[in-house]
Amino acid sequence: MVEQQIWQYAPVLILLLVALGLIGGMLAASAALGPRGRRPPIKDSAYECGMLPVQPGGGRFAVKFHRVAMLFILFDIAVVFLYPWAVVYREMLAGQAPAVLGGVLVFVGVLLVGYLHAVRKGAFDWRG
Amino acid sequence: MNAILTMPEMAVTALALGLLVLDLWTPADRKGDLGIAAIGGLALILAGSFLFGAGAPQYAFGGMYVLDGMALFFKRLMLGVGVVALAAALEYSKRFAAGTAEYCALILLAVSGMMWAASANHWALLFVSVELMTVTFYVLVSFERTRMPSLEAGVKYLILGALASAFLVYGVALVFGGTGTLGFAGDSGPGLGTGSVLVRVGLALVLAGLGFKIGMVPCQFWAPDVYQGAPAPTAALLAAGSKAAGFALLLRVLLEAAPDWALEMRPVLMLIAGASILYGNLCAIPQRNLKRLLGYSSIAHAGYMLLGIVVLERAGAAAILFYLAGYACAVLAAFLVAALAFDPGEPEEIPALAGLHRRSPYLAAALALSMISLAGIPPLVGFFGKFLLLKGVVLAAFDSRSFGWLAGVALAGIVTSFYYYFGVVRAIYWSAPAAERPPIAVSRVAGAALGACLVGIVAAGVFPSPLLEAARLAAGALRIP
Amino acid sequence: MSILTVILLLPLLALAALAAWPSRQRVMFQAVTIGITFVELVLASLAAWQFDVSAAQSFQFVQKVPWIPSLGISFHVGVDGLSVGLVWMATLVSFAAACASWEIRERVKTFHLLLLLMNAGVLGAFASLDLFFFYIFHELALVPTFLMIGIWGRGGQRSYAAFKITLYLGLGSMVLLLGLLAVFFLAGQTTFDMVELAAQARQSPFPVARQQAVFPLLLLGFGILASLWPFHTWAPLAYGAAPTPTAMLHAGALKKFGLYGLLRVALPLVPDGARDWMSVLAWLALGNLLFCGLVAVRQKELDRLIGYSSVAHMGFIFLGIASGTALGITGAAVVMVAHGMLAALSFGLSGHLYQQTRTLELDRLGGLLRPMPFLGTALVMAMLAACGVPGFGNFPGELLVFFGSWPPRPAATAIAAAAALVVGAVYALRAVRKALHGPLPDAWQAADDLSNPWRRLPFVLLLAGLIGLGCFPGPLVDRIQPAAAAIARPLESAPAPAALIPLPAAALTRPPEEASR
Repeated sequence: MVEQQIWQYAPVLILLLVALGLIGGMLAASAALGPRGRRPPIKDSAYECGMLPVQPGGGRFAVKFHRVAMLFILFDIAVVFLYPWAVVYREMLAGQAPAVLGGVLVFVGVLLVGYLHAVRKGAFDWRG
Repeated sequence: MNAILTMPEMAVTALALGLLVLDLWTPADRKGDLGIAAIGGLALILAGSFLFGAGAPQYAFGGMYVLDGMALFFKRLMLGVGVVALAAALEYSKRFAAGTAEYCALILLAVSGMMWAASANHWALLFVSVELMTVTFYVLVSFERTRMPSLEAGVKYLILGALASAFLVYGVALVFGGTGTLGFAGDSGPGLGTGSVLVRVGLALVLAGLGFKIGMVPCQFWAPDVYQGAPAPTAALLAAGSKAAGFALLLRVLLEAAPDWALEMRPVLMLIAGASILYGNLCAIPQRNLKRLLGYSSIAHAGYMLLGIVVLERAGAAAILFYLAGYACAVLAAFLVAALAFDPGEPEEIPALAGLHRRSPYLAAALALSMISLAGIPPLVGFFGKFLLLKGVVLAAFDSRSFGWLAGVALAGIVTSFYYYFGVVRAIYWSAPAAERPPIAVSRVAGAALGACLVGIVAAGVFPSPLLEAARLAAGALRIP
Repeated sequence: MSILTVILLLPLLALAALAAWPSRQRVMFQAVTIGITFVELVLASLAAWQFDVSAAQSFQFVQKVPWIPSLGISFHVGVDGLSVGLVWMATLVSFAAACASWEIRERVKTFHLLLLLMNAGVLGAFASLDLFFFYIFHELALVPTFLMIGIWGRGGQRSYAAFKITLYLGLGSMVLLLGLLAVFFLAGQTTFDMVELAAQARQSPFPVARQQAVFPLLLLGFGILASLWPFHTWAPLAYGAAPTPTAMLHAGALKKFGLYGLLRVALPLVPDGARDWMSVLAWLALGNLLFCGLVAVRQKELDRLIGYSSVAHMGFIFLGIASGTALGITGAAVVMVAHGMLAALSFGLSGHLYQQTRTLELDRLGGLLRPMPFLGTALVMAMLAACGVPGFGNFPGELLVFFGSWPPRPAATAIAAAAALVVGAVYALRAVRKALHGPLPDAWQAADDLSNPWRRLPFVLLLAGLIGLGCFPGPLVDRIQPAAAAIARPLESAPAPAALIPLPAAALTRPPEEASR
C-alpha cells in the first residue's frame, strides 16, 4: 500500500527534476554563451534588467497598514469557512438542525465579538 | 452528539469573549473589577466541573472529544492554575499602560485551549487545541511591549513555536497518511502498530512537537529565554498550564494511541528523560535571574516527569498527574512572588531578593517553601511527587539495569538541584541587602492566591492521600491496551 | 493515644501556635520551647520507666493510623528496647539545646520555630515504625539545619558549611530513599511498615542476590548521614559553624539516625546482603577511629576538635554494628545513647565558651579553669568521657563493642582498642591543657561561668546522665539486649561468620530461646 501511495507522487518528482534541469541548463548556457569580462556590481543586484533602486528596502511603514491588512485577512478567511457550511446546510437541516444552525450562530457570534472589539478600540480609525 | 460535555471549555471561552465585550464599555479606572469578575467566573467554572462525575468515558463530536477521569483531572488542574494566573495578572497588569482585560481574556483563552487538549481524542483536535494555546501565548509572552526582554522572548517563542507546530502538523499528516484515520485508539479500534515507516516518522515528529510544549531536551532551548522575558503571570501559566497540557497529550499519544511505538522507543525516551534532568539542573546552577532559573529548572522537572512515562504504566501516569499538581502549586507561588517582590522594570535578579524576609515575611516564606518543594524535600508536595516517580523507576530497575542508571541520573540531578534552590533560600534569608528597601504591600487577591498555593504545597505533602487517589483514579481511566 | 504520639505532636502543635504569635515578645518563644521540650523529657522518662523490660524486643506504646492506604503507608509509632533509650536521649538533648538557645539574640521567633521543627523530626525518626515516616521525620531537620547555620552560624565559612551539610545529607537521603524503595519492592510492594517488613524478612528472606544489590545503597545512605569515613567531612565543618543549640541537637541526636537506621532497617531486612559488607564496614570504622582521631589531634580550634572527636566516636558504633553479634550491637546502642549526651555536652560547653571569649582557637585560649570553675570542670569531665574513662557512659558501651567484635574480627578490634583509645586520650587531654590550663589572658579574667543556676541545669542533667549510665548501665543494657539479639540472630545464623563465634560471646548473650519468649 505504501508503495502505491508513494508512486502517486511520481509527477511531483518529475516536475522537480524538470525544474532543476531548467535552472541548471540556463545557468550553464549563460556561463558558456554569455559575454566575458568585467562584472559591475549592478549585475548582481536583484533587478538587473529593470529600474535602478531609488532607496534601500525595509523602510518604515505606518503600523495602520499592517492593522488593516490583518483585520482584512482575519475576516476574509473567517468568511471562507461559511462556504463548506453552506454546501452541507440543506442536507444537514433535515437531521441535525440544532447543530448546524447553532454551530454557525456561535461562529458568527465569535466573529461579531471580534468585530465589535475592533470597532470600539478604534482599529478602523484611519487617523488613529 | 454530547455537546453538553464540552460545557467547561465553552464556558471559559464565553467568559473570555464576555470579558472582551464588557471591557469596551468599562471606564479605565474600573478595569480591575473585570479581572476580579474573571477570577470569580473561572472559580465558578472550577466548582461546576465537580458536577461531572468520573464515570465511564463519554465521547462527543464523533469520538473526537473524550471526557474521562484523566481529562477531568487535567481540566480541574488547569482551571485552578488559571485562577491563580489571573490573580497574578491582576496584580502585574498595573504595570501595563492598558490592556488588563485583554490580558485576562487571553489567559482565559489559553486555559480553554489547555482544557480542549486534555480531552483530545483525535489528531485534529490535538493540533487545534495546541494551536489555540500556542497562538495565545505568542501574545501573552510579548505583552509588555515596552520592555525589550519581553519582546525578545515573544519573538523567540514565536519562531520556535511555529517550528514546533510545523513538526506537529507534519507528524500528524504522516500518521494520517500511514493509518488513514485521524482518531486515536479506543473507540476507533486498536492502537497504532509500529509497522509502517510513515507512522513511525510521524510519531517521532509529533513527539518533537509536544516535547516543545513540555520543554524536554532537545526541544528545550526556548524555555530559559522565554521564562525570563515573559511577564511573570504568563511564565507561571507556561510552566504550570502549558506543560500540563503537553503532558496530557503526551500521555494520550504514547500510552493510548501508540503504545507499541512507545515501547519500541523506550530507550530513546529514557535518554531524553536523563538528558533533560541533567541539562536543566546543571544549567540552572550559575543562573542569577530567578525566572531564568525557574526556566532551566522547568526543563529538569519535565525530565523527572518523563520518568513516569518511560515506565509505561498506569502507576507512572498517576505519578505524573500528582507531580504536575504539586509542581503547579510550587511554581505558581514562585512566579507570584517574582511578580510581587520586584519593582516594575527591574530584572528579577536573585541577589535582589536579599532582605526580602524583612520587607515581607509572607513573600519570603512563600518563596522559600516553593523552592524547598521544588527541591523535593519532605514533607512538602514536591517530595511525594518525586517519591512516586522514583518508585516506578526503582521497580523497573530490578529487571533492567538501564533503569538503574536512570535512577542514578535522577538522583544526581535532584541533589544538584538542592544547590541552586537553596541558593535562593540563602538570598532571601541571610544575604546582606545592598540597600535598605521599603516593605512590600501584598494585595488581598494576590495574597489569597499565594495562600492557596502554599496550602496546596503543605497539605498535599502532609496528607497526600486524597490527591493521590484522585490521580490514581484519573490514570485508571487511561485505556492502556 | 500513645504517649509517643503525644511527644511527637507537642512540638508540632507548639510550632503552629507560635507561628501565629507576634515576633516582638522574644522571651515567650524561648519559654515555650524550653517548656515543651521539658514536658517531652518528662513524658519520655515516664515511657522509659513504664517500658516492660520482659518484652523488650517487641514494640510498646504502639499507635498505628493508616495514612496512605493504597501504598501501605501508615503513621505507626512505637519503641522497643533499642529505641526507647534513643528517644529518651533525644528528648534530653532537645531540652538541653532549647536551654542553650539563650545565645540567640536576633530573629528569635524564626529560630525557635525551626528548633521545634527539628526537634519533632529527631523524635519522630526514632519513634517511627513506618519506613516512609521514618525517612520523612529525619528530612524535616534538613531545612532547619541549613537555615540555622546560615542565619545564626558563626565564622566566615558558615555559608559554605550550610551548603556542604545540606548537599551531603541530601545526597545521603536520596541514596537512602532509593534503598528504602528497593526494600519496599523486595517485600512485594504491599507495606512500608517496618514491623511487617521485618516479620516478612524473618519468615521468608528475600532473594540473596537482590539483598546484595540493596544493602550497599542502605549502607551508603545511612553511612553518609552518620558520617562514616570517608563521607564524614561535612560534620566537623558544619558543627563548627552551627549555633550551639543546632550543633547539640544535630551531633547529639540527629546524627544517630543513620546508625539507628542500619540497626533498625538494614540489618534486619537484608541480613544476607549485610553479611558480606560487614568486614568492609569494620575497616571503614577504623577509618573513623584512627584517621578522624588523628585529625582531631591536629585541630587548632576547640569546636573542630570536638567535631572530629564526635566523628571518631562513630567508629566505635560502626565497629559494634559490623561485629554482627548481639553483644557488639548492644554495645553500639549503648555508645549511641552515651555519645548523644556527650556530644550535646561538649558542643554546649564550647558554645558557651565561645560566647565568653569570641574565639575557640586553642592557641589563644588558656587558663580558663580559674575564672570558670564550673564550665572547666564540666569540660574536663566531658573530655574524660570522650577518651573512655570508666565511670562515664561511653565506657560500658565501648567495652561491650570490643567484647562483641573480638571474636569475628580480632585484628580490627585490636587496632581499635589499642590505637583509638590512645589517640582519644591525646586529643582530649590536649584540649583540656590548651583551653583550661596555662596562663590566663587578661581579657577573660571576668568571664561568666554560667552564673545563673538555670543555665547550669542542662549541663548538670547531661553530666548526670553520662555518669549514671557509666555507673549503672544495667537498666539500659537490659532493654537493648533482647532487641539486639533479635537483630543479630539472622546475621549469626550465617554460615561463614557464625563458625567463628566462640564461646564467650555466646555465653554473654542470652540464650535464644529465652530471648524469644
